[in-house]
Amino acid sequence: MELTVNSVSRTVRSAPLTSLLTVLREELDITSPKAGCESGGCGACTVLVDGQPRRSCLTALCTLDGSEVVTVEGLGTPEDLSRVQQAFIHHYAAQCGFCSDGMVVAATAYINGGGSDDAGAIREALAGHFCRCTGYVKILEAVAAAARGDELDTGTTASSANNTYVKISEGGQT
Amino acid sequence: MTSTVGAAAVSMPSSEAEAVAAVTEQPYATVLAGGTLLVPQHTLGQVAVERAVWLGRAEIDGISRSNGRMTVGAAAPLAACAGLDAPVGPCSANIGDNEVKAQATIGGNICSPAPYGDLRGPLLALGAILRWADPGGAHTGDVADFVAAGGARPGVLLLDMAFEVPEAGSFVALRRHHTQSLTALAVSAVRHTGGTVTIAATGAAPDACRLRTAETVLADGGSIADAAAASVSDADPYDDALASAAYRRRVLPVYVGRALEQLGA
Repeated sequence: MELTVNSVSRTVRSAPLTSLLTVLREELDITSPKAGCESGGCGACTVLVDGQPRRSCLTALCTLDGSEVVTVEGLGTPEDLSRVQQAFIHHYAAQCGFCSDGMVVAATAYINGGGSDDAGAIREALAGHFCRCTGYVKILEAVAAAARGDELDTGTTASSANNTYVKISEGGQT
Repeated sequence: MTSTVGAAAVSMPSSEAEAVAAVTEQPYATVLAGGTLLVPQHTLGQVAVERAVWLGRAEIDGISRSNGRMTVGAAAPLAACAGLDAPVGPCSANIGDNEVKAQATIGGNICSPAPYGDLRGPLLALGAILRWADPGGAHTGDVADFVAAGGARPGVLLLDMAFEVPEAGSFVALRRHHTQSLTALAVSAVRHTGGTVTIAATGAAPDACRLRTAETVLADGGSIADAAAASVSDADPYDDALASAAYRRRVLPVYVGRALEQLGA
C-alpha cells in the first residue's frame, strides 16, 4: 500500500486492519502520534489525513491507499517551526508534552480551515483532546494567538495573567 | 473468547450490490465502516476478523429527503447527520468529538449496543424502518426487529434507515463532565403528522426502549408531568460504569419532561 507521509512516498506492508497509529510508530518510526488510550478518546494520536484531523488509532490502514498523512514531523523543523508550534512555545502550552502533538495537529487543521481566535470555537475544535497537566488555558491562548497572527517570539514566554513577556534566558517567572 | 488475528483480507466494494455480496458470502465478513469501534478492538485483540468489507466506496452513505420521507445511508458519517432535524440531528451531534463524528457512521452506531447505540432511541421514536441484508436475503424492520434478528455480526450488512419527517422532534441527553463522552441516558420525543407523540430512551434499560406508558398518558390528555412520572414504569434501569440504576430511575422522568417541553407537547 502506498502512502504519502510528511511529503515522502512510503510503501507500507502492515496488515490491512492495522491502525494508522501502529503503522506510523512501529513500521515507519514516526513517534509524534502518541499511543494514549488507543480507543479514540484522548486525541494524542491525531494526524492529518488529506488535510483533515483524524484519530490514527481509529483509522485502518486499508482505508488510506493513496492518502496524504501529515504528523508533527511534517509541520515544521527545529529550525523552521510552524506557526502553531511557535505559538505553543511562546505561550508555554505544554508541560509533559504527551498531548502536544495531537493538539498541535488539531489546531493546525482548525487554523488552516479558517478558524478564528474565538475561545468557544477553539474549545470545540480541540474537544476530545485531553491534557492532564496544563489546565488547557495556555493551549487555548496559543491557538488563539496563532489564529490571530500574533507576533511570536520563541525566545520569550507570554504571561497568561497580564500578557507581559518574560525572557526565558533571564529565568523569570510571571 | 478473546483471540488475536493476523492479516485479515479486506475487500472494498464499489456499490451496494457488491457490498451485500461481499459481506454475505462465506466465510461471512465483518463490516468495516468508520472503524471507530472495530479498529481499536482489533488492535487490542478483542475481536477476531477472518475477512472484512470496507464500506468507504460502496456508495451507501447518501442522505436524501423525498415526499416527506428521509433516508439515511448506513455509511453516512455522524458529522453529516448532525445538521438534521431533531431527534436524529442533535443525537448525532452529541456523539463523540468532531474528529470522531467525521469518521464514525450512523450505521456503526446503530449496530453497537450500549453504552453506544445512541441513535437507536431517536429511530425508535421516529418509527424508522431499517433495511439490512444477511445470508438469508433482504430484510426490513424497526430497530427492535434488527436487534431481535441478531443485530450486527459477520454476514450482516445494515444498508439504510428511513422515516417520515415528523411535525416536530426533540432530544435531550444527560450531560457529563468532559472526560466522559459516553451518554448515560437520553430521551427522544417525536410529534408525528396528526399529533401522535412517541417517546424513546437510551440508558433507561439495557437497550433502547419506547416509553409507551408515558405516550398513553399523553394521548389520554395527561400533563407532561404525568407522562414523565409514568415513564419509569417503561424503564428497566441498570447499573454500569456511567450511572447507577437508582440514578437512572431518578433522572428519567426529568429528562422525559424536558424532552416533552422541548417538543411543545
